[in-house]
Amino acid sequence: MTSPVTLPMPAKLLNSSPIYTLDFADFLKTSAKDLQDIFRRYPAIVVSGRPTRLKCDLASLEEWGGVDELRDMHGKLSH
Amino acid sequence: MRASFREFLETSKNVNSLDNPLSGGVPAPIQLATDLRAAVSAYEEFPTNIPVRIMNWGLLAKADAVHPPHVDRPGTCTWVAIEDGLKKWDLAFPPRGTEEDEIANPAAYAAEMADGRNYARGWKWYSVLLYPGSMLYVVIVPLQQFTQTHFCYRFMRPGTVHSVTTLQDCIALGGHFFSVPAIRHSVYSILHNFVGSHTITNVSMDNEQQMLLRIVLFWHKTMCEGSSAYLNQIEQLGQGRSFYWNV
Repeated sequence: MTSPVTLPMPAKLLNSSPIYTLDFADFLKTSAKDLQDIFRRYPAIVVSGRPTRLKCDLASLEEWGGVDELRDMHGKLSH
Repeated sequence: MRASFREFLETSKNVNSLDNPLSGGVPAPIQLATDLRAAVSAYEEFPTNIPVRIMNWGLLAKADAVHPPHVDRPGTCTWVAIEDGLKKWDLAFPPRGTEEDEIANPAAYAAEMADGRNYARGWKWYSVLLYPGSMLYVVIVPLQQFTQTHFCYRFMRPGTVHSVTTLQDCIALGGHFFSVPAIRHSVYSILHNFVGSHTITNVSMDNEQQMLLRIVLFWHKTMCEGSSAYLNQIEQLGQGRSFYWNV
């Protein structure tokens, strides 16, 4: 298993990449039909610029439930 | 291991909280989520909590968590939006020339995938850096190479092989959905998960496939129980085809 590190120019990659990219404003303006057509052709879509609101803090986690409630958690090898 | 959110924030240990079903406010992209569109219709004896309990969730992860190559819940597409923190998401795709053969082949979704990243089968890996906020710049490079790409919102087809590394403490929203454009991949994915089970996925089969049945019922309702326009069109097309064949 090898993992050589090189960094080609982006312009050379766009046509061959299986990942479709667009920003959040364009994503919202894209029709369902067009977005579905994109999803037929590209196995992954990434959207940049989506507004965020939550932080890794107690105030944010309170939205997910009691912060002192015991929950199932996992060790190192999980995502 | 059991711990509270408060303990999660206070500990220096490497901990992940993956089982956080969320309701309301974080739906899958409605443009792509056919199952959500179909879920608008209510059917007797169908549990109403599946779209919420299984299909939307929150992720909480400490830095340095690593998840080796795997596929997600059988048959479903996945979306993830980073709210805070940083993750590197590695995505694997079969070579274009053999893509159809590979995605249909259970052997490509087995131990070789989990342990060897399918390098020997010629699969290409792409790395995407997921972070909150606006895009800084974009570079996407093919497999076995390094990528510096900044994104915060991502969709994957069913059965997409991926591995995840959390680079900074991270909170994310996400979910699963079924999408008509990727329904062929859903079928393959369900088969591969049936064959490979926990060798290739990190979840158990649950009731999510009821969402597929909802889609079928939705189409039946639309085509057969509403206006006759759709069936009339099919009939006309059929007659046209017969005429064409006769000619």
